[in-house]
Amino acid sequence: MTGIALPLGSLASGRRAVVVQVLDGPSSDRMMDMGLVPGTPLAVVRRAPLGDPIQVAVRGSWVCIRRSEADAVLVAAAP
Amino acid sequence: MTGCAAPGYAGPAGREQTRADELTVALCGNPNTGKSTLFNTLTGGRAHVGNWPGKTVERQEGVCRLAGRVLRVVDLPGIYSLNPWSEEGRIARDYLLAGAADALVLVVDATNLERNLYLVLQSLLLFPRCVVVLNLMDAARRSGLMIDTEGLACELGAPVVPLAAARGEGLPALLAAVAAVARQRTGVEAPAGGEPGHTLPALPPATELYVRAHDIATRVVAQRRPPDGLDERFDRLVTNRWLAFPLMLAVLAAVFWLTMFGAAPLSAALGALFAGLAGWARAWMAAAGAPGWLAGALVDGLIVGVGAVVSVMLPTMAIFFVLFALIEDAGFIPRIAFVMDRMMRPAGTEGKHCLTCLMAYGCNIPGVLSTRILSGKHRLIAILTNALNPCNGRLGPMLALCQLFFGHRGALVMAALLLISIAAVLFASFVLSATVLRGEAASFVMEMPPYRRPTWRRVVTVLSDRVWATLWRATVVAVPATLLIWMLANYPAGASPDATWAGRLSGALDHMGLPLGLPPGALTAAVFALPAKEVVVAALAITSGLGRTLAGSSALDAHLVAAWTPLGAFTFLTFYMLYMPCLYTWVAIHRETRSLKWTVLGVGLPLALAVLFTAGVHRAGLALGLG
Repeated sequence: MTGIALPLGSLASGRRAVVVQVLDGPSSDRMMDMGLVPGTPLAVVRRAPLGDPIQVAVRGSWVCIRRSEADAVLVAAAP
Repeated sequence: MTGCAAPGYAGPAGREQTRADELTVALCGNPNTGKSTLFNTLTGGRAHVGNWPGKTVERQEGVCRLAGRVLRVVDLPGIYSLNPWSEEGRIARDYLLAGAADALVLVVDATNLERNLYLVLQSLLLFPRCVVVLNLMDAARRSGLMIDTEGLACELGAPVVPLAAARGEGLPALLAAVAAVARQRTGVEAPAGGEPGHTLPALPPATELYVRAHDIATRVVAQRRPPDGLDERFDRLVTNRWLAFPLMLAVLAAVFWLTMFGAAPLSAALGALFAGLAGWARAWMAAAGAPGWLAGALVDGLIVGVGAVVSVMLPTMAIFFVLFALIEDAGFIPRIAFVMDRMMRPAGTEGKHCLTCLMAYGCNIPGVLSTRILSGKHRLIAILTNALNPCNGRLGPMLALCQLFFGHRGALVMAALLLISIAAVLFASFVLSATVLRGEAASFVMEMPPYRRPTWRRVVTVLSDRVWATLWRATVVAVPATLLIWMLANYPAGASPDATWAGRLSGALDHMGLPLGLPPGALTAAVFALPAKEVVVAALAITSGLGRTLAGSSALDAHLVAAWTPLGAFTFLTFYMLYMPCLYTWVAIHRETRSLKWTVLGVGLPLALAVLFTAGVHRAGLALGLG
């Protein structure tokens, strides 16, 4: 959990990270209900063919989020 | 449109009184955990089932019997939490807190325990009498997951029953567990699950509950072998940067192509059957000395009219819905939403809007209801643009008319029409989000389910549902509509074709259709088809000069091909595809928006766009010298 916190939407596909903080945003409640809470390990599975949204593997399920909304989730990227 | 009144979409049951020997059991769980499948297995119901999150759009009820007692089963919408962010979450929470349920069955996806446990932990805090069902156990076994159900029951302090609802495995154990935990009703008793007026106890924060969910899942789930990665390999193909769009188009084209050409021989056979029946009935009535008006109404109005509907609708409906069910069950629909989201964004809408449009190709009423997977601005846009997607009631006649006018190129013309309807949806969405719905926040967060293997049982269910729904609609809607149209076309008695009621209406409407390039009689037929779009073929037979005889589809075909130019036909098809939702859809729009303003817009917007696009098509056709 070292390093600077990055917005989730900026993570390249294939990268792993751990959620550090979830900022207030239009979808933050929903994302937290789906398991994106601080301390959660996740991986960006892929970006959609047009670069957006992203598909995130979290707690054994896949969640698709627009990058602008995913940016409310700050993560520490794993090396 | 056939099948609009599918029982799966019935509202809450009117009977709220519970008798002492009845048990009310609520089903609650994350979206796409097989709740609806379990509901159907328990009650023999026909809730809509498919592999994408968010199909159960309002709570529905059914009944089954358990050891001489009546079990009322309430299927709540799929939710991720009892927090009130979403309408579904509010519906489920309010229901549980009202205390009407004697027991709560928490349906859990065994392949995805940790995420599902969050809602389970919340529910256990609010509601005392729960049974946890580990559904999709067969899928969990296939992917090498071992779950210690006794350990899970200890951790949760609630009985845990493994189940494979789609195969009916584990049902007796579930019923026994429900009977054991359910509140025993002894005469008059205050509901104990949350007294009326009971305020919601504060739920622990998500972070805390998820830590507990993770702990439990780590202790009770063992991965016996690594996942096979088949889903991932498939997704790599389906969402590939270059292949995604061609693949999606190819699948949709294949569905429409198979519907069109697979249905043709069946339609011809059914048409011949009804023609034979009509001939026989006509001869029989003449021999029996029946009066001309009776023979006309029964044979030319009824048998031929209903025959036209059934022979066009039945094969296309059956094939389309079976193919759609296969795609839906397999889990392709959310992939389409994922791939399409970026393209929908400039129009002010999102990927899940596509799902409601695809649903609308079946019928606009479930299409309108399915918009509950969206929220706020996106939901309103999806409701208002839903009827621009041709439902099966329109697709059937459109396919038939395309084949009639354009022969083997009919598939291409059909594709062009569908592109026009997509353009209309996007254009309307853009206009709405730039005007009346400007400035509202919008979001896209969606769970992507794993692929699942479609079952034969589902195919058979879909097939029989569609056949019955089509026949039911043909009888209840098409019969009165056809008879009314026949009367308009034949009375006042003895009048010349132009002087009948239909003739006079046609005379007035043809002037309005002229600037749009609509052939004579076309607009009148569209008006006749307002109660149910699929009667348009029968309506055309009457309004295009075959008025009194309605002598069967071959005469109509020959007449239309001779009287209409290809451009005229295409213009009519464009108008017919877009012009207005059917009367049942008006009701659905009003029920969903609870607003006269939005209902009027939901009816008026398609009409305005139909006029705009039809005029555009007509002008473009003339400019290209196709007139």
